[in-house]
Parts: sequence; structure tokens; C-alpha cells
Amino acid sequence: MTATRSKIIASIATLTVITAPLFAADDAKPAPATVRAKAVVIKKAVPAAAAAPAIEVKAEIVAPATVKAQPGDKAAEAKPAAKPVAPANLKGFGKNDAARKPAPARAAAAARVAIEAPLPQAGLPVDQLKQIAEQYRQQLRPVLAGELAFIRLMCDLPMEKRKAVRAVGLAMVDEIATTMAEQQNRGRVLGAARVAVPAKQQAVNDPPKAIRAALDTALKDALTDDQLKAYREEAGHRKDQRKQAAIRSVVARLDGMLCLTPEARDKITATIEESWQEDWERWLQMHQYGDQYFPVVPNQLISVHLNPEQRQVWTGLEKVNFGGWNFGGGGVVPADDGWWGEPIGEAGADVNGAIFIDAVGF
Amino acid sequence: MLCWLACMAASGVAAPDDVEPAEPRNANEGEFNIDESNFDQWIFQGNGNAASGKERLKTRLNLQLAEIDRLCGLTSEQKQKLQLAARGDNKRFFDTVEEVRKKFLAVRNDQNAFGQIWQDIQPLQRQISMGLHGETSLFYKALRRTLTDEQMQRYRAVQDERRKYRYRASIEVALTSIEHTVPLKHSQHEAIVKLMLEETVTPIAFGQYDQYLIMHQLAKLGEARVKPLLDERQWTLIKANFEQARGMEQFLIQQGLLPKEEDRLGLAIDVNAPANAARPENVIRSEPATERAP
Repeated sequence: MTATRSKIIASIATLTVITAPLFAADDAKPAPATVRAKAVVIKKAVPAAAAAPAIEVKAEIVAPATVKAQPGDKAAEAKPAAKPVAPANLKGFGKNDAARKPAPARAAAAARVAIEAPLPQAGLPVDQLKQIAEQYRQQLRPVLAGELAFIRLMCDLPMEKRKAVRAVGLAMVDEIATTMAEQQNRGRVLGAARVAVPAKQQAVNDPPKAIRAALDTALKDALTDDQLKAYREEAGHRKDQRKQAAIRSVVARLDGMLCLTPEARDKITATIEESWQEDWERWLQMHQYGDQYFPVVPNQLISVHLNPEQRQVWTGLEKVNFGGWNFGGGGVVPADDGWWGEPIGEAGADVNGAIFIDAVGF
Repeated sequence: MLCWLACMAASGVAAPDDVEPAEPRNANEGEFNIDESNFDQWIFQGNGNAASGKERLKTRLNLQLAEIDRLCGLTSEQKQKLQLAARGDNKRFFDTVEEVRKKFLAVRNDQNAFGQIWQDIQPLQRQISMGLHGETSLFYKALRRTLTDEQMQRYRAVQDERRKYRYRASIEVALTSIEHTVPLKHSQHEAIVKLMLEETVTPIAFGQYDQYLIMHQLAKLGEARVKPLLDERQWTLIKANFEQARGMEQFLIQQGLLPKEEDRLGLAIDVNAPANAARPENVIRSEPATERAP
């Protein structure tokens, strides 16, 4: 345990930055969610202010040792869009979580890291590309599982339509996974971390959104107008709940730091709501770090409601931009009980009627 | 339990141990050396170093004092007492930081011994994150002794309202995560939020383990309260996690999110104990009652 921990600490000095809560030396205790940062770019959040540097966390899902960021990658800084990283070099990927050891190096996120530029290399062989795509596919399947579970709950989907709807979801997962592998391969050839595949970039930027959109289209053919309306209404509520949760989470943590009045909380909430951007839903991912990091909320939405002392604390807070995307899955998914037309027990349903996502790539 | 934790993890990611760690890069190949600047970064995070960390803590204290003043209309004597207590908290914290720094400097070149330092750093990070003047601080104790009942009531009302606001935020965030695997209808989501707000105790603190805390609280409500809100399938899925969540109580107490058993019984703080080196907070209490502020 200690040796592993020490090795990880040592890696701070090179490339990989691991953001994870510190952990006592007891594997039986909960291992909090971890975030991988492929590259951490330190930059001033607010020019000409005594602000703490904002940390750009990109591709927080997994950190492949082979894919390295370009130093001073301005384009990447300017467009912190989704950049999922290949899981190619992860050891033990997909193994049971119980076998994993806790993460020791939460504080490492604050450390500056040296970033090496990748060198152009030959493209990967087809077989290897397929393997990489499969790894992405495994990471994406929990997202699909979650969406299918949502549809199952909300829609009285006729038996004969289920298989087709699921197939559309699986096809989208395949498309995204293949594109990600292709991106990675292009990057390898051109000496970059990844190189976009323009026609398909949107889906890669936000896979959950792309999967939801594909399923929504499939449901148009599978449901009556009334059913579709009811489904979309629930989907709208879910979207709004996430938005409200993201905003409330930020405002509540600000409140704890800045001693806001209830009026100030309401004003900040209203201001953020008015300017809401869909990808700010990623702020939800910050909550798992307690008050340690804040998302990069546009300064003008907050500071206008603060007094000078509050503003000083606000500008000093460490802001982290989650440039990647959340797989949104994890843990238990509904069993493959045949409801979707797949063979029963395909993925190893247990007696409780549930399987662990480990079976599909958690 | 760990399987359940996997369920609760918002971003399903691999543990750091899964990544092949890079070797430390130093002038001398293979030499292990962590620069001292990392230590301050780990403790003070965005604040950079101890000096700026102190500055920020001071500003946060000022904000707290300003709020108390706004709510309670403090006398100058009350302000002085609170500032004195807060300085005591700060001193105690920075003294500990310096002790840990010494330990860090002693092991920063020793890869094998270095792992142990995290056990000292973690509580400091937690303190910074949760604030130095919380309910177990000298500041808070001074507050209880310095404010009048009416002032204290006003202050507590605001703090309770703030914790409730934060609790609701944590519940909603946790539900968005749970709903990745156990989707809920809007009405169910709202009913669970309402149930938790009305029938669970608002936690004393919040932090990175909020999701575990919420699941624990939900689990403790039990089948009789939760099952009626769900359908059979949802209940089956969520029930599997409840037993494990219930078992997290000690961990959550250890993290300061739930009160200790003795605190719940009202036995934790012996306010009548004499002031001494082990109990310096009682110095403040030792002042004659007649000199207390109104």
C-alpha cells in the first residue's frame, strides 16, 4: 500500500496528475471517486487580480500514459471541449473495484506538472485500433445502460420495439467509441494528443448527450405521440433537476465560504440560471471534491453580487474546469433480464436482479 | 462495500493504482525528491503558500465576524474576544502545519517513508476545507460563551438555514448520481428530497463524502419510509446498497460529517474542566462571569 502510494506521489513530478481524496491505510474504507487529469494547465483565472490559478482538468476520465499533451497547447486551453482519453495503458482496467486500492494523492492536483510533447508515430494497426475502440465502448456502455433504464421506467415500450431502440443506442456507442479510437490514432500520426474527426466531433464532445439524442429519435418510431410527449416531459424534468442541482451545489459551497445572505444566494442563483450553458452540468462533478475546487463559473455572474471582501475570497478560490465528460455510470445497472430482448443472463445477473458495471467496463 | 462505492462514484473511473506510475525525474536518475513548494500546495491548495493561506483565512474570518456582527450587533468587547479565540484557532492550525512540514522535510527524499506523511496532511486539508472556526473550534466555543442567548439564537438560525441549504444541494447532487443507475420519475425525485429534508438530521458538516452521507441517511430511513416511494424494481436495486450504506456510520463520524456518539448524548464537551495546556480553550471561559459581554 505504502509503496504504491509512494510511486503515485512520485509520478506527480512527471506527467500524470491524479486528483483523488486522500485515504487512510485501510482498504476496507470507501475509495472515493477519482479523477484523472491528463494535463493540468495553470493559468490566471482573473487577470490583474490576486487570483489563484485556475486549473484546467482535461480528459478526467482516464489518463493514458502514452498520450501526452502538447506543452502550451493554446488551442486546447481555448477550447476545453470533451477530450476523453484512451484507456489503452491502464493496468487492470475493468477489474472489480473491490480489488482496487484507495487513491492517496488528492493534493497532487495542485502540483505543477511537466508535460511532454508526443512525437509523431506510425498509425496503429487495425487490430489495436479495434481494441482501443472496445475499451471506449466498455466505458460508454454504462451511459447507455442508464438511458435504457430511464426509458424502461418512463415508457410503456412495446415488446417488439425494444430491441430496435436498444440497437440504436448500441450503434451510437459503437460510433462514438470508434471515433475516439480514430481521434487517438490521428493524434499519434500527427504528433498530438488527439486530432479531431470533424464530422463526428459533436458526439465525442458529449457522448451522453449523443446517446440520449439517438435514443430519442428511435423512440419517435416506437411510441405514440402521447407516450413520446410524456417521456420527453420526464426527460425535461431530469435535465432541469441536474441544472438546479449543479447551480445549488455551487451556490451552497460559495455560501459556506463567503457567508452570503439569503438574498445574495437568490441573486447569484438567478444570474446563473439566466446565463445557463448546457455543458455547465459538468459542475456536478466538482461536488465530489467538497469545497476544495470550484468550477470556472464566469466571474461576472458572481462578483457583481459580492462585497469587496467576499470578492477577494472568491478570486482566491481554486477553480477547475472539467474539460472532459462524465460517463455518468457506475455501480449497479439493471440486470439483463431479457426486457430489452437480449439473451437473459448475458452479462451475469446476480440473484438480486442486478449486475455490477464491472462486467461492462466500470 | 466497495462495490457499492463503485455505484456511488459519480464519474466511473479507475483508481490511480491502475495507472503505471512514472518514475521520478531528477537530476540524478532514480533519486526521489519532492520539492517543498508541493507541501504548501497540498495544504493550502489555491492559496499557494502559508503566507497567502494565512491571508485568505484571515479574510474568511473577517467575513464570519462581519456576518455575526450584522446579525447580532456585537459590542467591541465581544468582537475582541471572538478575534482572540480565532487567533488561537489559527495559531493551533499553523503550528500543526509547521510540525507536519518538519516531518515532510525529513522524508521528502525517502520514497518508502514518504507515504506516511499523507496521514498527517489529510487532516490539515480537511480543516482548511471545512474552515478553522467550525463547531469544534475555540472560536465557536468563545461564541457560545460570549453571545447572549438571544444573539446566539439569531446566529444559530442563520447557520441552520445555511446547513439546510447545503444539505438540499448535497441531496440533489447525490440523487443525480444515483439516478444514473436507478432512474426516478420527477415525482419520486421530489418525494425523496422532501422526505430527506423533513425526516433526517441535517449533517453538521459537508465535504467530499457527501454522496456517501446522503446514501447513509437514506438507508437509515429504512424500508418503511423509502419503499413506498419506489416501484419494485427500483427498490430491489437501491435496497442492495442500503445495508452497505448503513455500515458507513463510523467512517462518516470519523470524517466529521456525523456527530460522535458522545456528542449525540451531549457528553462531548466538558465546559467545566479547568484550563490547561491540553484544554487551552478554557482560558477564555475562565474569565469572571461579570466581565462577560451582554
